Amino acid sequence: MSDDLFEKYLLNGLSPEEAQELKRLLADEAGARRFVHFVQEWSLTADISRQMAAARALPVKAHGKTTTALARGARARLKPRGSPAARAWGWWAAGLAASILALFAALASREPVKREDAVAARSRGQAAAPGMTAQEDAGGNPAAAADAGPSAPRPVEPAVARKEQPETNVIQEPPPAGSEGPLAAEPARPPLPAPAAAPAVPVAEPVAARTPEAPKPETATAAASAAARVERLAGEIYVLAAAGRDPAREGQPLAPGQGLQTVGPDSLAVVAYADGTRLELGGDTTVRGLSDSGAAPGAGKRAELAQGALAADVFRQPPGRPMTFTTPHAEATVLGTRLRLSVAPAATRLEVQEGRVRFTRRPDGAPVEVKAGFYAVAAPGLAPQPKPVDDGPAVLLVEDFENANAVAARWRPLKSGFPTTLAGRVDVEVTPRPGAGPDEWPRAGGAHSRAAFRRPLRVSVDVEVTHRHENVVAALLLIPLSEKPYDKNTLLFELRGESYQVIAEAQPLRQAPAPGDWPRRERWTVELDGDEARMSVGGKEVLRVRHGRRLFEGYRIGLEGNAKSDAPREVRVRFDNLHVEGLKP
Amino acid sequence: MADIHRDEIVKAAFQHRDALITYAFAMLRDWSAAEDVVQDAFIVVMNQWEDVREVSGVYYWARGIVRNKVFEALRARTREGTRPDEELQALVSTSVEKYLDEHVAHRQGLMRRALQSCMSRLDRNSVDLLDGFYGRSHSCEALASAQKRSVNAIRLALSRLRRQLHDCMAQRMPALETEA
Repeated sequence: MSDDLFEKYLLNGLSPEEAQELKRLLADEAGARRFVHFVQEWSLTADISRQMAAARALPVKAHGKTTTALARGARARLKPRGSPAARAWGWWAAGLAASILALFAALASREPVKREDAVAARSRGQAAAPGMTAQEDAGGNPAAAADAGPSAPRPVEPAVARKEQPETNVIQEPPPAGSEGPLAAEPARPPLPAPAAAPAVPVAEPVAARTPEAPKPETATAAASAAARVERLAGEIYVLAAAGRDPAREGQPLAPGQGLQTVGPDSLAVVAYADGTRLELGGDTTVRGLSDSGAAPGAGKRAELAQGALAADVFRQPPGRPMTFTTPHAEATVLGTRLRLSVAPAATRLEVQEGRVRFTRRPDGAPVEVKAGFYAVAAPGLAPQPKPVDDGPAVLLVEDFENANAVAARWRPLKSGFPTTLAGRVDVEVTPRPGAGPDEWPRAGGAHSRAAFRRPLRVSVDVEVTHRHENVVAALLLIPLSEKPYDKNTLLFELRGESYQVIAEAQPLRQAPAPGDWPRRERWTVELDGDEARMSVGGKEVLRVRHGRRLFEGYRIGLEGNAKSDAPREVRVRFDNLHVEGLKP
Repeated sequence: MADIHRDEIVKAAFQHRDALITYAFAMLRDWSAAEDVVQDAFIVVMNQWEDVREVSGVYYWARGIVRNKVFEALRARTREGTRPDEELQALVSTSVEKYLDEHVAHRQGLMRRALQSCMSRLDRNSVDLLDGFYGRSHSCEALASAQKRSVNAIRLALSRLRRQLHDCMAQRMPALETEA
């Protein structure tokens, strides 16, 4: 009863009688404490649910080797090439890398949370509440649940692209006369729709019967003891054996212990086991130690994913002989399911499409059960935690500033401002110039996108500032398509000294402190959705403002660095790994 | 040295952000307004950190700033024609100031951890529903329309979720308190 009153109070819905009742409650210590607790729960629920909703599939690109996979994915998106399936693999790899990194970023930005997985909860006899993911338990027996899975072989869907926004989400503006850069080069455009799934292969028939040509004697021997065979190839593919590697060919049997390597982001290979289990290897992927104990007693099927990504459609395995995938960080045990597994240098990500998979972090073994529609990430120091798979917002642009021609086509460096280079990142040298007045803001350095992106949108970018100074600014601008930069409807999201600010018409609309170390590198995310704009740093929202500006159909993006004359010398403001996503209206 | 002290003050104030927002929300009953008030308060914290000598006193100092901001906002509402129930407002203010003390504010950190753990096990639709109602202050009617469900179904789902989360938190809090 008291909770109803508290809720009505918070929703401004109390009748006069109820208001009197609430006053009586609050006059009592127990009632007042209960009220405080109720509001605490309410406000935490509001904050956490919003963070969870906002954090889903927030693409974050970290630094180091993992950026390579994402960059390749980005290039594949912006410059489709190769077979449709291979092209879609680039998408998927990029999505996986982004998801993994987003998870790390989210984890890094909050205090450690000790979580319980569904398996652990069950083992203690805790009943998962309805609506919670742990509830869907096939009698509490994961193996039984998996056994109840598919009863017939299924074709692998080689690649399922993320939901795409229509191409009209990018509004390509013709460059102004005299602008820099070869515009004939590739414009920024959203990726093509995913290709249709590969045709199903009649995997139930014996392997030998499908070998396209009569095997040579030695091949026949290999086929007799083959763990699997190479079913389909695209690109540069090698069979890995202890003695080295040899080019692979379609139909080639793979002896126990052999592996397969795909070279290049657009390469692709499909491996089929005799029982219909199929593995599809994406670009730049290495799988070793393929084995299959078949019907004989043994360890079942095994595959070691050393790097890259694979999708697996695992036919129902005999009891006690599951299929096991190992990676540097984890082990996934499967009785029959459809899954995707990818390895980045720092982590392994498992995504389950059907059935259930037991996912165990190596070497210390923190297991979780991941069911259909969920994913989990294993990494040193990070226990796998199943989370719902996110279909995510549409990616309109992923920019790593690596390809000079493409960068020139997509970005316009600012003239007459601080020196700017666009090679691998936007690098602005904001060293003060002699003769500048102490209170003047000189022309900024940086770059503006040539294309505009349809609202509502989310822009994420890594920002680096080398010095702490109150007159050094790093700014991300949202520039209305039909206006000039800094006109009255341009929104600036900036880090100036120790404050984050949202600025319009040179006036701060909102400020927030920016504690942290210097030099600093952090990931900003800016969202413009209706009359509200939000800025997050490291996955945590720092500013939210009703900007009160006129809304436009599309916005160009500006990345700028600036400094007044009293700033230290050799200050750098840098931007990298920019993502633009269309949000649902 | 001053920088270190300032960083400590700011960090300590940030650690109580949840409790400060709770205080502001209890008074203003508007989530966005509560966040705005606390953001404004943090600007003051950043600029006036030298007023605090000990990190241990930061919570009450920051809450005082939030309180001032809250009453500024309430006065602005009054100027705009809103007529508050002043007696109720005073009772709420007293209750929150008295019982949302530093210990309870610290405990809210544990509550967050427990609730995060519980909510991480919710399915996506449930999180979206909570986000819509609590995070974005949509009415049940608006959520029902958006999700093509009846208003009663939305109310029921919210009520069930709230109860589940409350129970889940109650289960987890003792372990977290022992850890702490």
